[in-house]
Amino acid sequence: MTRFTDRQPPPLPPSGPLDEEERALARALRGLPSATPPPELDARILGASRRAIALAPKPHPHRRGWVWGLSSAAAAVLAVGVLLKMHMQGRDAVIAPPSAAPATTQPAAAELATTPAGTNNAATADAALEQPAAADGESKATEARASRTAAETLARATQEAVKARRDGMAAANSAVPPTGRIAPPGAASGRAGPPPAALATASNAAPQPFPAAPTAAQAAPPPAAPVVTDQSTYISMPAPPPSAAAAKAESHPTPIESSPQPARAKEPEQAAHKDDTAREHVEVAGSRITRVESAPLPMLADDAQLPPTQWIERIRARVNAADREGARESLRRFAARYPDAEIPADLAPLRK
Amino acid sequence: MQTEPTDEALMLAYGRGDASAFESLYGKHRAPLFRYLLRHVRQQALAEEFFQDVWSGVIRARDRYKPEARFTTWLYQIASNRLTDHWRAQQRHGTPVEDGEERAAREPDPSTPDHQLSKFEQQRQLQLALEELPPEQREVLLLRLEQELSLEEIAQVTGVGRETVKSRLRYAMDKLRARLGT
Repeated sequence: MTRFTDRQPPPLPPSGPLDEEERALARALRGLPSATPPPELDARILGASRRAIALAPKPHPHRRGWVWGLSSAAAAVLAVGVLLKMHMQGRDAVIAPPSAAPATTQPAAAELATTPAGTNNAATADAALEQPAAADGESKATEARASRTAAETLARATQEAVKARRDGMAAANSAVPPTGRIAPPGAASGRAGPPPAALATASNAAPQPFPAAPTAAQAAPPPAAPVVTDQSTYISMPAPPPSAAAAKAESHPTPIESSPQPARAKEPEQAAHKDDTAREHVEVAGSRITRVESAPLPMLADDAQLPPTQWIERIRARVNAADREGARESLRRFAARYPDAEIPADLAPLRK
Repeated sequence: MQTEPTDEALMLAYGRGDASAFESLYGKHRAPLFRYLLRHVRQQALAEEFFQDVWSGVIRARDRYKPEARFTTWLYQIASNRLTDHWRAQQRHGTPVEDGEERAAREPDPSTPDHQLSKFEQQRQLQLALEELPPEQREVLLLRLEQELSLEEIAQVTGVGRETVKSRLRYAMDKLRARLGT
């Protein structure tokens, strides 16, 4: 056990030299009898300091590297799997039965248009998919060749497929607005629109027009069947078309952006209304409302007058009020004032 | 000649896992810190409790320590916070009568000309004068006289402005002077 003598500590560096009177008083103060911490207290504190070191998780570079490598490999495998799946879905769309591929203007329909039954108005999608002409007899041979080399040229093929999908969407959007985000009637009428049946279906599915935002083309899923010209054929389809899975893969996480999907003509009108209601609800319940209604917070200097727990709450209030800079500064002052206080995990990112 | 590592370097070393660095720091600051606490609370048991709390705070905060200020300032800031908590708790439960004031009232007036103060008596008077001071003035005085911190450092430790520190120190010195008859 470490024994400490009651030696006088070495003089501190001159941080504000005492004047003569202060020095005399300081001497007198040092002369006052004063107890020292008992040895058992010393032992307890020193033991705690050693335990803290022993229990602290030590950085293990080898293990960390191993975990990092494994994570990277897993992520790579996942990425390849997703790309492969996307590629295979693209191929499924190509070999889909003609009944599922009437002339459409959607991207998946552009893929379908490569089949013999396709009455093609999406030549760009054809080119992008690197599929030969639909009526060409070499199409099957090309497919077989592409299938054999798929593993080798997976990344490239997938990129091209994605590009084709985008091109197809762009082409489709130039012809018809997406069902979930219908352009205003005036805008739609100015385009080379789909047949009246498709337009009517879209209107019924999503009756509330949205402004034609520039992101609508990206946000809209690319379902193949929803915009088919033959409504009866579409409605009788038992299962979603293969491209629906691809659309799901590209679907966005928020309810707002995924809402176009339920707007398909296949689903009942109530479902569309339900989703519209949900969309409105989400938008209304957004944090922006809270931001507007929050009361102005006191000055930063006032935070320091609060006890620690209330100070932390004030910092949280600043974060909630989107005063991130104020919260950061207040937290910095808090940490300076209470150096041994634990910073709550939810506020820790502010310190970075 | 090998220079002794600074407190800040020792604390950083402890944060990296060097237990002996903590022992060096502890050996250097244990006596002054304990004295500081004892002068405030005047009870050995309470001083020991706070002493342990302060060092536990140092141990807990070892990873977060940044040498932005002197280690001494940082250490006494933790101690000051602990004492503030104590005063706050006392206020909630009703401020007890300062026994220093009671004892001082029973003491003979040291300013009488025939009262010759021995060294022992002088120390006693100083002790009483310290006990009479309000906690915030006593804190500033002790940090200044015993730890020799600058006004800015005391302001950092106590969380008040420099001018407030200056004012508190002046009041405390005046009271001590009056008490000691100097």
